[in-house]
Amino acid sequence: MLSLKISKQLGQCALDFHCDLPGHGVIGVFGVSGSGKTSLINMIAGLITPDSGSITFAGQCFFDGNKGLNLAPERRRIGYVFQDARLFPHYTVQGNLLYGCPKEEQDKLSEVVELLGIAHLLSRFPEQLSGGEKQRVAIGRALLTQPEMLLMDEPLAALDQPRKQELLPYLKRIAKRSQIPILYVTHQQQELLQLVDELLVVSDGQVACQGTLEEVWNSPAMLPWQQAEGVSSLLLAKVMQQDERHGMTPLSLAPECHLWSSEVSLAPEQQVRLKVAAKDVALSRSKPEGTSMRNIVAATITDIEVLAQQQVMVSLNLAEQVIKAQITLWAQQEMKLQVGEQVYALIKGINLQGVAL
Amino acid sequence: MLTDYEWQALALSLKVSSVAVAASLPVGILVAWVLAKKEFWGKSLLNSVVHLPLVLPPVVTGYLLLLLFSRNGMLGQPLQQWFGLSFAFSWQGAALAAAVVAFPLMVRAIRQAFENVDPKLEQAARTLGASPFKVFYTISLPLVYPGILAGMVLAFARSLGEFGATITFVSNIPEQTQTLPLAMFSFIETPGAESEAARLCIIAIVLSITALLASEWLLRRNHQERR
Repeated sequence: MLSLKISKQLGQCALDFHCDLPGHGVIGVFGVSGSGKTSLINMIAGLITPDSGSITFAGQCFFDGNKGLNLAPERRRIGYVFQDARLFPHYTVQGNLLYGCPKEEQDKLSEVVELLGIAHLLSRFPEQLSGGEKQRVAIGRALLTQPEMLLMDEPLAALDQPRKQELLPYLKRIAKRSQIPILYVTHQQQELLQLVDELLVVSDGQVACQGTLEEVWNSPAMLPWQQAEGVSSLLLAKVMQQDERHGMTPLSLAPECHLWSSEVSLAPEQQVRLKVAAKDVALSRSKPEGTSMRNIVAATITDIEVLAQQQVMVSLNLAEQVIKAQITLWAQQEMKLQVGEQVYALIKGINLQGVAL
Repeated sequence: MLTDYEWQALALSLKVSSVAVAASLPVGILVAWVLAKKEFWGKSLLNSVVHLPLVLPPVVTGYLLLLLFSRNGMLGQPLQQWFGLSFAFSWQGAALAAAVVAFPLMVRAIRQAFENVDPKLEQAARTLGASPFKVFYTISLPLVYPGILAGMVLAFARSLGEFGATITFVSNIPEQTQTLPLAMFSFIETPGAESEAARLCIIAIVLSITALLASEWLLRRNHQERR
């Protein structure tokens, strides 16, 4: 567990972070540029000293303003992957990888090299690597220090789209295998959906919202981002046995409540994340018969919000998860929808996210 | 090819310059690092003192050295007493004068190199578990190597050419303090020795060009290693 109670004045910007983060999993740190995301992890790493407060990780105090305690960065056992890789130009790839690696751990090199697919680069100098390769080496270098926490500051941001696609599978692999908590800073929703379990939204130097990815995604803190590509909901589901006859896979939200996906290569029993656009959800008072739609589920209305341009956002409770439907004001008035009523949600499209296919 | 007299002057010049550069290098690196990376009270004063020999007339530098390091000088007396080190009218004195005069050039080159080392690399090294000392000798120092080389070449060249402070501090004594420029000065002062002066002039030019080519070669080799 990582406990933060820190404040810092950086020029015009006042930072004040209070939060407790879990000691495992991938924790997304999300926010617009200049919101203080990087300053936050720099304070955790010890590269910036807070003005006051305390930082404690797994029972060890990194910083305590009252006691005048400030552990040096090299003694915090934190791996840091910078946006710009920061490989040492005068060391080979192998030299970079082993720079912070304790002597007795050097046999882990081959494991990490294989995990990141950089065996063929070992004797090269950073100058001869592509952006994606550099970043992979930087990740390996941080992992080989045997850290107790990993910080990643927008590791994909400096890369072009093909390079991002190249690096993302490696990040997923690390996220899946990692025994240590990973703080992953980004301002890309796509990366969150692919990698993150827990999410911290940072805004104006403060924690705006914190929770599981699904909780935060469906909360008002994410609205500013959702407006660009349309509001959507995130659902967690479990893959069930595939229906061979129809070539579809049921994804269970609760016993007796499942959605169908045409994706057939999913391994049963694994958890998947579904993204459903609010515009792809229609509502009906009665269960429609004789329809081509397969995903029709009962849900309870929890909130009705009137938007601009004669639109209404209806939030529904679907097996204790949130799903949103965007309908017209006309339809809402004609159906006389009220909070607390049960309706049928007709879901046109579901997007599988962050699945290791 | 060279007369005994020319060999003597040449050998003495090389000895004085090499010793001047070698002895001042550790101090030069330290001062350059401090000026490039540290903020402290009195920094601009230190900077001014380091640069003083660059702007002072060499005769003033020589005179100050004479005051400080002569047998009765403030520093000369204790150095003689405790370490048996004497600078007065000896080749060591010539080396000291050369080192002092060349010091600002050495520090400037190395300092600039330190300023060009990306502090982000040093930060990255800290997060990889390196102490500030380890960061210095595994990251900062190797990265300023070209700057150190440039500083050494500049200081060596300046030492070879040193005249004013040397003649003021340790006089012009053959075999002791008579380096190439001082030997040349003696010939120029002697009527009818124009050809001897010209020979020394050619030796000085060849020596300087050799030093420059050597530094070019070292720099190129350092760059190629990274490819």
